[in-house]
Amino acid sequence: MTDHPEDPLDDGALRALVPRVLAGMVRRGEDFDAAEDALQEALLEALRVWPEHPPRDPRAWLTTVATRRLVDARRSEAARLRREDATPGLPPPAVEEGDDTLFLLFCCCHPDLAPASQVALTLRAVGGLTTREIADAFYVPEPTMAQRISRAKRALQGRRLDQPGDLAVVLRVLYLIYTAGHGGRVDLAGEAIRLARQLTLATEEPEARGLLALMLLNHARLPARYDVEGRIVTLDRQDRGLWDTQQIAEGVRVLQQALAVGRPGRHQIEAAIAALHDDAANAEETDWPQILAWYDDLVALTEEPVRQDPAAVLARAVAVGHVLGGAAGLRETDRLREVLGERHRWHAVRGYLHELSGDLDAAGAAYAEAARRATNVAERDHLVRQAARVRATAAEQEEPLAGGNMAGAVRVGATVRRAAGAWSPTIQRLLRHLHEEGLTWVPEPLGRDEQGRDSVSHLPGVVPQYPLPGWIWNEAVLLDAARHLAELHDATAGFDTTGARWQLPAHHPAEVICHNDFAPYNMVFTDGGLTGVIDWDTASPGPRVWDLAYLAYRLVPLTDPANHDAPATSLRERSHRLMLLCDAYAHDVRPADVLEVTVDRLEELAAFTQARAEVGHDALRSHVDLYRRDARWVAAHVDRLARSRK
Amino acid sequence: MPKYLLLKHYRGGPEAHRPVPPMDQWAPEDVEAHMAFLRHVSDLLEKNGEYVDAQALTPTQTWVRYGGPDAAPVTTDGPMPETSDLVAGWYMIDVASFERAVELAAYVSSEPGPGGTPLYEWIDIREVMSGSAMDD
Repeated sequence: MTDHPEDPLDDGALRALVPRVLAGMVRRGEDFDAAEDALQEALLEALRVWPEHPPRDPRAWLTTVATRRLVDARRSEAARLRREDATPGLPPPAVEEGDDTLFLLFCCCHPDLAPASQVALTLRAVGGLTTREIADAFYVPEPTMAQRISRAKRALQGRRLDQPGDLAVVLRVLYLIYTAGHGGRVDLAGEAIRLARQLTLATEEPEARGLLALMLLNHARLPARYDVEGRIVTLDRQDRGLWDTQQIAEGVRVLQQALAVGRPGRHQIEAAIAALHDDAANAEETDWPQILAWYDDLVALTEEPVRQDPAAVLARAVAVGHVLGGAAGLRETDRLREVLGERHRWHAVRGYLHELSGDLDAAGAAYAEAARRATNVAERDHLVRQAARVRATAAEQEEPLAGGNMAGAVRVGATVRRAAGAWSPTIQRLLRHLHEEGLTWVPEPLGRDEQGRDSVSHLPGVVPQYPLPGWIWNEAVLLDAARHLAELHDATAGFDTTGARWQLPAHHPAEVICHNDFAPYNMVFTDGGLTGVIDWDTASPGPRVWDLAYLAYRLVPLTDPANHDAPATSLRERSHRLMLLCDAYAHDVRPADVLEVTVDRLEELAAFTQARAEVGHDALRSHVDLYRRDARWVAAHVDRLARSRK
Repeated sequence: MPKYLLLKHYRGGPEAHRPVPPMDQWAPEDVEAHMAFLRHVSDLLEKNGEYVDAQALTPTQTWVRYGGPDAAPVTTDGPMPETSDLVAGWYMIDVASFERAVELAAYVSSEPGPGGTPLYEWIDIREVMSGSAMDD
């Protein structure tokens, strides 16, 4: 037996003796509480005496002194004086070191104790940490921790401690100690590994080895897990050169011993997954199919994994995302919504899977929600960073925009870009003018981007597409559109057109600047209300009624009932809506004027479209006929449509 | 030396001097600058010998009261009115004077926001009552 360390005062050596001496005393029938107190006093005595008089056998010395303290304590209690002689001053029975540790762990992890007490007592009695160190590790005042430990010891009083305990509880307590221990003043993770290593000397149970392997394989990555600023670095971004290869090698060796027994349990499976991560030279080489296979085994350990082991199901969803795609991973997390939907980790995993599937907007929202629910500052900060990062990336991505006749517009974050033309500077100036006039519902001009494209702000909301939704025909939309058009025209009456260049010709009289395409497919709606008008590139000077006629054509509507772009409503209803439109627009425009201009407007549109069709835009040819048929229909019904109010 | 809490709020307090979106919508470099500044404040306070404690709170709030004999505690964790105060965290400092506390609070409030310019966040200063009757 080797109880002769080089220096008996060496911290590790002394602490290693604690559980063995204590276990010997408790086995002999001493009370756990009293024996532990006596041993603490003996340790203090050792620190005082040993520098001058090093003991020949430190373990025997500690046992003798602790036992003497125990006797002294009893002597001082009158009630126990009679039992004094019954305490034998014999050396402890010779027992295996491993047995002592296991025995003591069973005492400290007694199922009747609360987890916090099991942890504290284990660290004190088996780990040999001082109360102060344990208090520091859990950030509570020392008296609080002292009280917790002494209450736990008292709870053990009078219990039979000579029966085998529950190894599963011991493993859980050790894992609790491991996970509590990163970054604090006391290295609890290292302590948990030390205790688990002692445990594997005492039992052949493969799960004990599985736990030790899991701790080693995770702990090996610790140096890469935080950067110099203390920020979390996720596994896929870690500098793998910082990983502790020696610890990985030991972890793999221990895991192989465990698996050889042929009774895999959750710790062995989790260790196997950790080993596969450690084994990849870089994130891209991670063997996700094999990791997923291990997760399948892990969730198969419980009958109802969603309820009994949701953490495993959640971790498996990430592997599913890597093997089968982000969408498949997200479907796996759906099953956990009820159980884990309130937890930050569920949202964080969904953010990751959304990112994997390329939906950066959803990823940003999920990371932000996870940050809101986080209970750890480092994790919260990390999640805020993740949200900001994917949102910034999303803002740089280009998304083609639907709608409008002029294709080629793309959305880049909060902006819209399109090829610039000779007219662009004039349109930018027009939009600036409108903003200065207080029209907040037009896009803000942003000049040219780095590629020379024209850039304006993106107006959030819904832009209706054909076939138009039913609510577009609500009277409120008609009135809202007319008022906005009037506002636009009023604001442009004073626009300085000196040097202006327009894409489309001006029309006479040039009273105002016309949008020239003021129609539902260029309107932005929020909650059913008109909040924006887009596609200003074809604006040019013209009479008010020029714009109003086109709006009437699209929104009254004034289309041939055979044109399926709009509902085939009655002439009476159309006449009524035209009147409403003119009234809401104000400025004394009469329905008859609008109808007359509508015919001209459609004829010009047909001619313009035909010219474009002839230079290659063949698809536009059918539109030409539609416009001409609609123009004929309006001309044929002017009288009935212009009928004034009864 | 008096102790003060410099409280940061999720909401409540005077009208924001500069309205800003939630931090997850800032540019990543602005988020980094903000967090680096807060780490720097803690370091500075420790170096000055003025640091006592710093903590952050989650935004989840639950009010609890005694439910009466043989009744469960009454709790409410529903959303509070948007105008109610919600503390986000604090620095506890041990400083020479109230003026020094104001100076430090103003420094905290200069933390960088979107675009790297100061946030002008309102900081709530509260003096911690002394535990000893013989303190001065």
